[in-house]
Amino acid sequence: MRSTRDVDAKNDTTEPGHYSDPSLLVLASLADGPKHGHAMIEDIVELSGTRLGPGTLYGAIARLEQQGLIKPLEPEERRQPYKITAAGLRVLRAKLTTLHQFSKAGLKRLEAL
Amino acid sequence: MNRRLARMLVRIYPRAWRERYGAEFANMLEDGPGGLGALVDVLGSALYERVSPTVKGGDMVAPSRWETWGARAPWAVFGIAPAVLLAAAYFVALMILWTGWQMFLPNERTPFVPVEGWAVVWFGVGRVLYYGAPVLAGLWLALVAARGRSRVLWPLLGAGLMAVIDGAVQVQAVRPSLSQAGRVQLLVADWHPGYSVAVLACTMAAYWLLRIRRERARAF
Repeated sequence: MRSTRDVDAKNDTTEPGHYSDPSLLVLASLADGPKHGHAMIEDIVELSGTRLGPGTLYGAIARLEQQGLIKPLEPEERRQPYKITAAGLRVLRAKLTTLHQFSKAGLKRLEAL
Repeated sequence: MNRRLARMLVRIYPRAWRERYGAEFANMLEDGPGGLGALVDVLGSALYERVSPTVKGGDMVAPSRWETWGARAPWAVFGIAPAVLLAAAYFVALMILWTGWQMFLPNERTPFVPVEGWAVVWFGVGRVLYYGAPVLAGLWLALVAARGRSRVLWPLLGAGLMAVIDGAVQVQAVRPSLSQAGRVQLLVADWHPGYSVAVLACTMAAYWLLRIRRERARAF
């Protein structure tokens, strides 16, 4: 489930869009330390401007855990924190590098216009 | 979110998913703000989880009986099973038509006349089932094929068979005299290619959509 909701609903087409790949957003959020669900949602809003719905967030968490990219820690009261694994960090780095190269190439083409 | 609603929403997910994530997900929903957006998001995610379950080394979600048989005997799963499903739905639709004819129109030689009151609802249910049956059977076929990652040939053949059946059959009601109960039956009549193309397109579009989403989910 990849549907996301923009934090600020704006119709201005010149506004930059929000990045909305839930799995990548969750990995990026966990890159600076373990978090539980609500903390991830708020962190992702700050990071990318995208607010993941609870179902979308847990769809991504389940997929990432099954792939060994994140793992659960000891529950804290009613909340279940997750931590990124070494494999998750490798995947995140590779994905972000690809995105970085892509955006650099795209911006270079725009500058040439 | 309301505790009862949160628990109800969690129940929509497949059992394997619930056993692993159900408790923590329910707690998170209860502690969250809720609202229509969250409700729609959870419903969509639960349905998607049913279509494309999260897999852990192939043992978190065992392949269903239909998926196993889809690999062993695709001709049965994608040919015979949807045709039987379609025939069963047509049978029920015809029974609704016939009983409605007996109850609401005992003095009519045909049930295909304007009706009013509860008869509209009764015949309406039958009509929806009759026209919706090929689409429902097609969606079932697409779901089994996409989950089993079948080659496109088999769902295409199955959908083609259903499309031909749907385009060619027609309901006939016969009551020679008002003293008789009359009967309803399906006839193979003139072929309507428009119906066939619509059923084929719906089924194959659903198959490709489910297949693409499944592949994308696996790819990350």
